[in-house]
Amino acid sequence: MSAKDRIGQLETLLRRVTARAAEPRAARVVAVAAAVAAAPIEEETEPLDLPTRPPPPGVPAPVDIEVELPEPAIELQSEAPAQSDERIVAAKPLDLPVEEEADVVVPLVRREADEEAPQIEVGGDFMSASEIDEEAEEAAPLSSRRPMGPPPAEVLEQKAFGKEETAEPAIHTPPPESGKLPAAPELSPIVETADYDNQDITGVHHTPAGERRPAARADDALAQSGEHQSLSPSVHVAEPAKLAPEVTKPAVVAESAVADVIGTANAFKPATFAELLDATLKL
Amino acid sequence: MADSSFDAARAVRFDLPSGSVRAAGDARVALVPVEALAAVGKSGAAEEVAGIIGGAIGKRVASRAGASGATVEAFATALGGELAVAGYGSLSLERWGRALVLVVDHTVLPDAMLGTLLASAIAATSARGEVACAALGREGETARFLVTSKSSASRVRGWIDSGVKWGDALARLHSKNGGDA
Repeated sequence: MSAKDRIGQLETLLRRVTARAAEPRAARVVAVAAAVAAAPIEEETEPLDLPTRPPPPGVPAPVDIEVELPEPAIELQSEAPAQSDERIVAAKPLDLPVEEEADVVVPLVRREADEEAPQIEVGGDFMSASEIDEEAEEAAPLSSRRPMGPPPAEVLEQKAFGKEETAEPAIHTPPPESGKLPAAPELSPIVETADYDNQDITGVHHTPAGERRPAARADDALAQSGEHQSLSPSVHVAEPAKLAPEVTKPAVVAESAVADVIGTANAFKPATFAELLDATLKL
Repeated sequence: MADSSFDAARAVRFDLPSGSVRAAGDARVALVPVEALAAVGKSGAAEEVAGIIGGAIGKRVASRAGASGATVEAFATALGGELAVAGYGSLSLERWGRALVLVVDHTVLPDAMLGTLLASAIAATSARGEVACAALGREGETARFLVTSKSSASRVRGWIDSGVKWGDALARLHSKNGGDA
């Protein structure tokens, strides 16, 4: 077979593959079944004789370049002509010695129905059923194909009506709880003995052990508020001061003479009827 | 100045041979039933009739109490006596601040006629033409009339028709004009 014939066959095969790829899948299955049922047909396809434009004068004719294609890497075992619907089928299981640890040895892929189809032997290791199960449990990688379809009803319901309160694990560190702070351990005084000379120099004064700060006076608002507690050498975290209203009432005596009336209002007392008549007519 | 009490002597003279009745001042009058006055009050001539009656009464009051120098008590006595002799009711005066209110008990005249009659009597007594009496209301047989100008009388009638009590209307009238009550 010359290179041209091979190229022609390859082009024919390419056209057929392209046409079948464009067909719907069901139609293709029927077509494949019909092709299998029918006897092998030797299709002789001739290369299309497309019109070509003659080269312009003065231009040398194209040189025929022979291209030697490499031999096909896979030689089909079937006598039948090449079909595009052929599939790679795993070879029959080999009679290999069964390992003792394995429960059941099964081939990776096996189709009994395709045993008679052209086969390609695929070498590989056999896996036990437990290994297959473990592999099946692994999540599919992100790039793999996944079933496309609406999410399950539970997921849609959760998106629509909210998720039920479930105790989910904390994503980050929870904020500190409010409330009382734990008291820090009481520190021992740095200066054990009263050294008044050093105290004046360093500024560190020592409160003798057992001596406590006197209780805040009732009229000492600053002492009662506890704001100066941080300045205290003995570390005590006091409870937050409770807020209480400070009521200031005015000193008002009920007997005070508020109003001071001087004289009396002028009363209208007309002397004559004519005066009264003039007054009422002016209203 | 007139006397403190009303002298009813010779207030009305009946001349039986001539068949006439004469009031003080020799003005001839006639005795009519009150139904006739009520019928007149429903007619269109009620205001004119009441004005004529009030004018005649005012002239008699002026002759009794004087034109301008009469005290309030003297005027009240004279006007009340004339109304009582004529049979139109018992009169008394009330002073609400600067407002003069005439109170008539047991009257037989309707309010419209009585108001016109009183205003005409006062105008005839004091020689002031701009006098009006606005009816403040009637409580049983007691009717009250405010003596004021025509414009103020129309305002007070409007307030009372809109539901304002007559006491509040008087107070509003005083506040509107800045008078001291």
